[in-house]
Amino acid sequence: MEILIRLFAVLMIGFLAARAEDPLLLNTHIRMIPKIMALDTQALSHSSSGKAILGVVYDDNRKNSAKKVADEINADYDGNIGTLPFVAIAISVDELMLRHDIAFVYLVEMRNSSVRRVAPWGILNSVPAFSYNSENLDLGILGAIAIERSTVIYLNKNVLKEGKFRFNDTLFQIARFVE
Amino acid sequence: MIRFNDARLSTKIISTLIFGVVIIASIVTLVTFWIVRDLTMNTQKEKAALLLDTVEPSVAISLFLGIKDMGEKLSSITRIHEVIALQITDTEGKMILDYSRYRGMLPSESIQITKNLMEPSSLKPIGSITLTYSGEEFTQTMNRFYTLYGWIAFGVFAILWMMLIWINRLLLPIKLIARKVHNFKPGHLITFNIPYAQHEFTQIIHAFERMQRSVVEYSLKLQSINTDLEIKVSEQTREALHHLYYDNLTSLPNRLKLQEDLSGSSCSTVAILNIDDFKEINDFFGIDTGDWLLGQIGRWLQEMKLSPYRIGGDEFAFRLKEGTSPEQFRHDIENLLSLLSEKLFMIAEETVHIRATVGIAIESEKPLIHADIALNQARVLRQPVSIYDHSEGIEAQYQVNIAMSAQIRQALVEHRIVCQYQPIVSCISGKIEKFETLVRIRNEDGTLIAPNDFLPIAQKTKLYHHITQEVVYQACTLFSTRDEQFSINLSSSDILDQHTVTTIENILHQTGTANRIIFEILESEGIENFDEVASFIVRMKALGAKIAIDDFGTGYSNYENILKLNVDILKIDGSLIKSINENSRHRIVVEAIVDFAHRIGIDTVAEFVASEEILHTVTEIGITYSQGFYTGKPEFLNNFLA
Repeated sequence: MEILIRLFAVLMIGFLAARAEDPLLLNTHIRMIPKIMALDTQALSHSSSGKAILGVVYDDNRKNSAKKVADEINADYDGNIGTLPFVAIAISVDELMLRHDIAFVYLVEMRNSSVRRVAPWGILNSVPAFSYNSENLDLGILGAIAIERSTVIYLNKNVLKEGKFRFNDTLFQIARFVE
Repeated sequence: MIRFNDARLSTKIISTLIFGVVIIASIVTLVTFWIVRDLTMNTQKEKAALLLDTVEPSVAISLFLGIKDMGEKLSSITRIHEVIALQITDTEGKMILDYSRYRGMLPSESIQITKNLMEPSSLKPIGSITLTYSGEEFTQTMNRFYTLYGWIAFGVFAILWMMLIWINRLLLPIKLIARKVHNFKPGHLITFNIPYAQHEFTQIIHAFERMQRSVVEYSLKLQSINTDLEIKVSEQTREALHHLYYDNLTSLPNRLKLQEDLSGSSCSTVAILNIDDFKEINDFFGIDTGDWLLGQIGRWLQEMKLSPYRIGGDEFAFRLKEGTSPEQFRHDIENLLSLLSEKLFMIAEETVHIRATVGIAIESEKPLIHADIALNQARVLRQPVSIYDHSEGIEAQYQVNIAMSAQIRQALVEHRIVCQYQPIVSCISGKIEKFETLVRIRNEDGTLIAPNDFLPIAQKTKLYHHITQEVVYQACTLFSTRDEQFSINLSSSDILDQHTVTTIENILHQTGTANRIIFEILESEGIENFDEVASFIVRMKALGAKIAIDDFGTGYSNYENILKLNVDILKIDGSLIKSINENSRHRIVVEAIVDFAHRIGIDTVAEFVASEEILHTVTEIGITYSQGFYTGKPEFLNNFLA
């Protein structure tokens, strides 16, 4: 029994360690994600309140982590990015599936199954979805931000074609496209 | 500008060409320079701007997204050689990127372009990017431009130089024509053999040749006209010379001819013959007859073979012929006068005897003047012939007269005409009651000139009236402050001169001395001009003046005239008085005059009373006043010491 408990603990630690975010990368995302949302020319078309809603999406029990990201974004931008008024909220995958007023989604670390649910939703509703994990691009997520020699914005070329997204062209000049 | 006007035609043409080409080339060069420079500069700027445009969106969005590392994005332009610097700053001026190809100083020629970086969504400025682009290409382009225009300028200069040579060659015929025409003389034909002559020069040559022919024709005409003119001028000259040297009336040579003959000859012996009383012939028979007679005399003198000259109205002259002695000449002249006195000249149906007087100057320096002096001398001496004698000093007297005339004139101007006053004493009371005014000239050294030395000359030189007026003014001014009577001598010419009479009247009115003045007139002058003198006496007596007859007793002593002239005083001539005690005849004459004066109630004055005996005698005879050195010498009165 004691052995089982130790094994469970090791697995849980491994699991938790495997899903923890890199603070540097996360901070970069917190700083850049609202600005990328501002480059979306359809950002305000999803909401009738005149405010674009940036959804920080989580699954399982990572609500706190998502809420923390949303709070930091709100704190950093004070409700406006350029001329675009917005608000960041933490929202679960299930709840997201029911909402139609979300303008942009940012996926914190989550399971692949959740990612596979959000990706088609984004394409279907023309809501750009950026993911913390750039590997999620292979699962149909539109974009991700990685720190390599310099900060790189990746865009999924196929999703971009399918989703009828409308970004400011300048974004495409600095983005790196993947297929 | 004056030098340009005087420059050669070829110089002017080429100068104008050079000037025009330089102006046009300068304008074209400057315009082209500006265009090329602006085009090159704009091209470079556009290149730089294009480069900036390629990176500006990505830089802007990177800046917007906070991506600091832009090296990769900018490598596309920083790789370009011409990009020498790139700076990116945010809105607060903070340098985000500072790239420079060169460390330290930038190349001198460079273009700098700055663009604002905008936030992609809201287009708010978020920073700026500055690109510094190399101007090396601009400099190279401009250098190529300079080289090109240097070659163009060299080419233009070479073309102009060749044009100068060509223009000189074109204008060479003008120089050749000018050289040939320069030495042109009427009568000489120039042959123009000009190489390379253009059509225009051929025309000029033809024109010159036509002109030459015309000049030759006109020269011939002019020569003919000149010949005619020379003949006419010669005739006119001969005629003019005849008029100049010959007398029209007698056709004899005139005074000018005589003077020239004398100056061109060693002989200086001349005789001047004057027809006696020829004026009377003119007055009696008329001037035309007088002229006709002069013609007769001239022809007769020519017949006498003495080569006469007519030198004046009725004056003829003769010159001693060479080879003749002065004595022979004098003999010939006397013989001529003798023949002339026997010669009968016919005037109408009347016969006229002509007499003449001759003056001769022998071997004289001034033969005409000296012969004239001798002629005057002969007239005075009433001789038919007189020969000038230098020892008589007549010419010297003339010089003295001229000098005295000048001295009188100067004395009048300098107010050196002065008066002395001789007392006239009453024989009854022995007191001075009158003064006679006697004129003097005061020399510059203070000595006095007596009136006998200058009054006769003054009368001949028209200065006498001025002296009279000055004397009347001085005497009247002096006696306007005194109580005595005073006398002034007047000549008949004074009385005949209306201006002098009017002046005397004005002075008498101004000084208020008319009732104390006595005018002394010579008896002889009163008789010669009786009417005028009588009229003057009436005018003066009307003013209150008195009239005295001066020097009475030696001339006509016409008592009837004295009565007619209504004089107040008789001044008995001094020549009778000064010998009255020695010459009983003089005493009888004086007594007769005094008796006449007493009978008609006028005063008498004895002149030349030089001694007590004379004074005693004249008092005894009953003469009213005495005047002479004994009773008082002429002297300046104390308040009129001029």
